[in-house]
Formats: sequence, structure tokens, C-alpha cells
Amino acid sequence: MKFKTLLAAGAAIAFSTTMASAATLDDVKAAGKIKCGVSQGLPGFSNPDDEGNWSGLDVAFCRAMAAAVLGDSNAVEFTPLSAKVRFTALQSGEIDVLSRNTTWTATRDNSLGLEFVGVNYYDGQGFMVRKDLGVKSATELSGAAVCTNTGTTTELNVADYFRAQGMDYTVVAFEKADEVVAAYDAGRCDVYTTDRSGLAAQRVKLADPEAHVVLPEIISKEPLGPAVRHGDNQWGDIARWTLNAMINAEELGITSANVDEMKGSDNPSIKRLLGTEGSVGADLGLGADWAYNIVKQVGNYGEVYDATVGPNTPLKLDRGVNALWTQGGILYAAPVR
Amino acid sequence: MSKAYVNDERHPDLPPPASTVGAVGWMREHLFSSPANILMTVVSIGLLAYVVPPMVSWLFTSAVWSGGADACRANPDAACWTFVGARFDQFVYGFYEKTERWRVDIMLILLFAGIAALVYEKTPGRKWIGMFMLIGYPILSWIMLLGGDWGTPNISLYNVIVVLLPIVGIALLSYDRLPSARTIGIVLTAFYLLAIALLLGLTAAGKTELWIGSTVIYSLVRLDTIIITLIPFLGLFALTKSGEMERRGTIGIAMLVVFAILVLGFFFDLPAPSSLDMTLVDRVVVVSMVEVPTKQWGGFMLTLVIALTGIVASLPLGVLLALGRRSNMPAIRVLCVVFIEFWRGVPLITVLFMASVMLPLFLPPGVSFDQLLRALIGVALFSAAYMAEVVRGGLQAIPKGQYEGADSLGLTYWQKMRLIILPQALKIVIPGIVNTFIGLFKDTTLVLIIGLFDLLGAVQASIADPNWNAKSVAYTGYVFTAFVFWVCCYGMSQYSRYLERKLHTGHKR
Repeated sequence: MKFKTLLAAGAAIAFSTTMASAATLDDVKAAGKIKCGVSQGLPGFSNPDDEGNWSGLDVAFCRAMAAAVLGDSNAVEFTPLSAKVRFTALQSGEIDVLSRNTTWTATRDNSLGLEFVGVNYYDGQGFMVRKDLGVKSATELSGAAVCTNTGTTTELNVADYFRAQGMDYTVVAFEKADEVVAAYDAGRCDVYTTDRSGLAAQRVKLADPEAHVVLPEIISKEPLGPAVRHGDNQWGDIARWTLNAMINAEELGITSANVDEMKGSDNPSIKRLLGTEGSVGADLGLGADWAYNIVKQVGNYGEVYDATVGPNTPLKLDRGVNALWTQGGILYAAPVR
Repeated sequence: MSKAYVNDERHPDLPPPASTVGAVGWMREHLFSSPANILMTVVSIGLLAYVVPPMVSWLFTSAVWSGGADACRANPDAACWTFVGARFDQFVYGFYEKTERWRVDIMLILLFAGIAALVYEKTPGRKWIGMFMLIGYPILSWIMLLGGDWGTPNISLYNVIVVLLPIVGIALLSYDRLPSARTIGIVLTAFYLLAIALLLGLTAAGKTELWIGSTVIYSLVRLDTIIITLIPFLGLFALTKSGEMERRGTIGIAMLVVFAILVLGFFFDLPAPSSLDMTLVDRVVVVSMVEVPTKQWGGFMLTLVIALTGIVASLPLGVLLALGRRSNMPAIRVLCVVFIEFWRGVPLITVLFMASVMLPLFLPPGVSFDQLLRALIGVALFSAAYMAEVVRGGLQAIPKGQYEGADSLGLTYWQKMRLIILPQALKIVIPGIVNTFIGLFKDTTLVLIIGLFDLLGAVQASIADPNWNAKSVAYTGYVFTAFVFWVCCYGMSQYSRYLERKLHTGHKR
């Protein structure tokens, strides 16, 4: 018992020391770059391109932060992290921001010493089956063998769903997405389940993509978003408003192409966002042109979406719920004023 | 009367029966000598016929050799070599700065040239090349790959003290009448007690530094302040305890080594006591290159860095540990046993995970080691423990008579080991050593979990690119990786077999 107390005390000290070094903004400015944790390769969200540069939706968020804080979207040091080490890396200060398709959940937000700053992609877990099975709904999947990844919420969601429906199932779980797809393609299981964005990404790799169908049910909410260390509110604000700025810029019609002329706009909302009026940038501890740099160098949310995962990319993901609230989606950013 | 027939010349040898020579004979003897053999031959040929043609077709004949991702999507059931072509640079260099890749090229060429020169026996100056590859090359590659400014350090008060202290130490040691050793011990004890008192006092007062005017004279966070005060104290304390000159020499050398480490520590910008940080002479930069942080290292280059560091460090460390484990000195034996069993008792993943993720949690804020360096140290210590056990196996296989013979010649312990025991023991365990090397080489892929992209990591990350989402891309990437690893490991194993044959001196049964 005593040993446990000692251990807990040690852990508390360890965590308190990391929290003591609270001013991430100062550290980042001193280092001249943001340390950003991304995935080890998730199509469209974070993956290296042919030139060896990181690209993707999650990557773009880190670049936007670098543009806002340092004025240079390339001042990012990417650290690829596995699902297992991502939170420890953030707690230990190995990275400044975690942008790694991480689902925002209560446990993660409240007990892991991290803070989610928003949602940059609303995802949900879905099922894919072969068309020739004739299955039209997930409620008909009783007794199915389900292929999934180990160690993610996916596996737990499947368990919850099948138990709630009172259906039997067998899990066939693998470590890597490639293995799961290969197993499903080889017929080792009837159902492939993961986030719907993942289903879309992997579907093109199947032998005959047209022979498979994604079932309409979405069995979980997966709000994916960036997270920062708990306890540094200024840095958290910067991250939150970086995301808000990208979404607001799309809503206001500011793109990387027209941001320069928009600077002369009379619209007070645009003026406040681009820093020609008000003191939003200074309040964040940044320059007045923080949002201008984001949009100029990285683009607004819609531009980034279209370039990384949108309908014209191989992933072909429709905006769906990730459209702006004005266009039937649920993206709704707090106003800059 | 018939004429007697006498053959006056030797009948020429008849050729052996046609069925025992040539291809037919060979096949009869090796492939079809018994029913079981016939069965196995037929099954094997059937298996080959079943496997090889589709493999050749997938790998070569119907594979995609040109075009882009579209060509691979159009032909999903064959290898997509254009993917490997497009990503080849990433597989070799990872995210290494593009304009600086020539530095990696130079080191790779040097490496292969060095290995070739060492493998070929008639190379002149082979011994010196070997020395260079073992000592000079790792240092040179660190400088070349990392870049940045290299030169003399700032000459500060600290440097002067660090350089002067051992000189004073040597002077003291070589002065053979040292009656004041006890006095020195007392003075140093007092000094160290004062240091501890300061430390405790500052802690109690909730401060981290002691100031006089505007100068920091004692700083808590600087760990090496404590070490610096501790080391000479311990060394001289040991001196006062030991009257024998030989012991004193050993202790003196130990102190020298510690000071050398301190000097190196300063050179590599480890934290120094700030009060001593006063610069007397500014540093002189000899080499200046663009710095490429280790975060950007990756691909095959990183695989080689980790594997070669592990290999070069683990053999000498392992030999020392093995000797230590069989030592008669209980303290050393226990230390070595604990070290070996600790490292053998934890999985490499745990070691890497602890080193990369947990360690920073326990270090004071602001203190951080390079991520790759941490992994390298972890891998080196881990493989050293395994190497120690392999070498110990060799040591135990040497008959006791060899040890006794060496003793009877009056050889010292190190002479005995260097000249008699180790040459025999290491020869016996060559297969075990190379086995460990090969295992280590393949284990390097585990660094992926701590965010370093070795060859496999680079390939896996590339597979995730949605622009290369063809079905065959992943398989091609893995086949390529497997081939590279196979070439390296098979090369090592062939060389070890060659070494065994060369060193074979008739003990083989």
C-alpha cells in the first residue's frame, strides 16, 4: 500500500513538473517551430507525399498553427505517433499539439491530462459488407465475423452495438489497417468495420470495390480533433482559435486566393478576423495577422478539406456533416469579435 | 599351336556406367536414390511449379515498371515497382533534408568501401582500416549526418578547472610520499558536506540557486554540480583508503576517465554549473554544415545507424559483461549479473518506450536528450546483455586447462584473456554472435513505435498516401522491405560462415 502511495506521489510530481513548464507559446517561439504529433500514416489525414512532405487534414491544422504563431506554415516538426504512445508523448512535452485523428471522449479529456480544442472532422463508425450477402442493414448481421483493428475504440463500439442489439458475432482483429483489409478481401470475415472515413479510404484497395457496400448505420460518434496539454490555457486558446479561424474563413468566403483583396473588405467580421480591426491577435499573444497567415499559407477549412479528403481526392469523402452549418452540416465556429 | 596372347599394356580404364555420371548420375544419386527421396523430389518440384510461375509473373513479367499510380490501379494483381521508384529516396533517407543528402551518400559509400576493404583479406593496412571503421567512422558519421557547427568549445572557467583538476590529481598521485592524503580526505569531506548543506538549505528555503551579487554560485538543477563535487571526493577518499601504488594508479585512471567525460559533456553542451560558465575564449568553429535534426533521419539510413551502433557497441560491452559475470570479484559479478538479467528480462519495446516516452516525465523540465540517442543507448545496452550471454557460452566451453596453462605462464588476467581465452572463445561463438547481430538488425524496426521511421516505417507511411491507393502498393512495399532485409541478413550470415571456415583449426567434429 505504502509503495503505491509513493508511486502515486512520484507520478504526481512527474506530471506537475510538466505542467509547471506551462508557457508552451514561449517555448515554441524560442524553438522557432511547433512540435506536432501526427499518425504514422493515415490516408488523407496525415501521410507523407511523394516529395517527402507531410500532408493531410490533421497535418494542415498543425501548419495553420505554425502560420498563426510563427508566421511560417513550414515551421512544424512532425512526430509520427502510434495510437498507444500519442497521449504520453503529449503529456511528456515531446510534442506541443496532438493532431492525430483522435476521438474526443470524456475520459481522454478529463483524466489524461490533455484538452481537446475542437473537432476538425466528424466521423462515425460504419460497416462494410459484400453486396452479394444481400444485407441491407446492420441489424441483419447476427452471427457475422467482424474484421477490425485492435486497441482502438472501434473494437469496443462493435461489442456495445452487438450486445445492445442482442446479436452474436465473432471478432477477427488485426494490428494494422492493411492486414484488416487483406483479411476482409480474402473472405476471412463478413463485415469490415472502422470509421467511415477509413472505410472510404480502404475500399479502393479491395479487389473489386464495386462489390461492396457501406451500410447506412453509424454506430458511434467519433468527433476527431486536435488536443493540447491540460493547464496551459493560452496555448489551448491559440489552438482552438486556429481551428475556429479556418472554419470562420470559409464561412466568410475568405480563401488563400482572395485573402489579400479581402483585407480591404468593409465587412467588420472579415476585418476583425484578418486583424485590420480589433485586437483578437494581440489577445491571443499573437500578431494581428495571425488569421491572415493561416488562410494565406494553409487555406480555409473547405480548401483544406477538398485538397486532402474531399470528393476530388482518391478518398472521395463528401462533406456530409462536416459541411458548414449554413450548408446543412454541423460545422459551427464561434464568431471572432 | 596358337600364339599365346599376352597383353603388354594396361587396359585403359573403362568409363563409369553412364547411369552414374553426369546429370543423370547426379540426379539418380541425389534426387531419386530411394522411394522416400523420389516422393520428396516429386512433391518439391510440384510445389515449385505451383509457386514459382505466379511469383515470377507477379514480381516481374506482369509487374508495373513504368507509369504512375494509375498504371498500378489498372493492374492490381501484379507488383507496383513504380511506387518503390517514386518513393525510393524516402525509403533510403526518410525525411532527411534534400539538399544535404550528399552527406548520407558519402557516409554510405565510405561504409560499403570500408566493409569491402575489410572483407577482402589482401587490402593493405587492413588493421588501420578496421580501427577507423570501429572508432573513427561512427564519430565521423555522427558529425556528417547531424551537421551543425563543430569545433573547439568555448574556453571557460569550467573548462580550465576540468582540465587542471586531473593534472593536479596526477601530480598528487605521482608524488610518492603522500602522507597528507588523510588531510585531503578530511578537507574534501568538509567541502562535500558543505555542498550537501547548501543543497539541503536551498531546498528547504524553496530556492534553486544561491546568489552572491549577480553571480550564481550554486545551482540546484545542475546535476553535474553535484557530480563534479562528488567524483574527486570519492576518488581521493579511495586514495586515502588505499596505500598501494598500483591501486592508486587505477583510481587515478578512473578519475581521468570521469574528467574526460566531463570535458566531452561540455563539448556536447550538457548543462554546466552556471557560475563556472564564464567564457574566457570564444569557440572556434572548424566545420559548419546545415544541421539536420535526428527527427528527420529515416529510412534505410536510420536502420543502418541503429543496427551498426548496436553491433559496434554490443560486442565489446558484451565481452566485458561476460568476463565480469565470471569474475572472482563479487561486486563486479553481482553488478554484471544484475545488469544482464535486467536487460534480458524486459522486452525491447519496453526499453524503447521507457526511453522515449517515460524518461522525459522524470527529468527536470528543460532537460532533454535526443530521441534517437535515447533509442541508440537502449538498443546498445539491450543487445550487449544478449551478447554477454553468447560470449559467456564461449568462455565456458574453453577447457580449464587453458586457463591454468595461461596462469602457469605467469600471464596477468588481461593478458590471459586477450591472448589465450578470448581468441578461442570468440571463435567458437561466431554463429551465436552473428545470430545476435541479425536479430538486432531486424529488431531495429521496433523503433517505429517511438516515432522514428526506419525502412519499414518509411514504407508503411508511404503506403498510406491516398494518391497511391492501389491494391498492390502495400504488397510491393513489404516485398521490397523484406528483400532489403534479406540481403543484409544473408550477407552477414554468409560472412560468418566464411569466417568460421577460415578460423577453423581442426577442432571441428
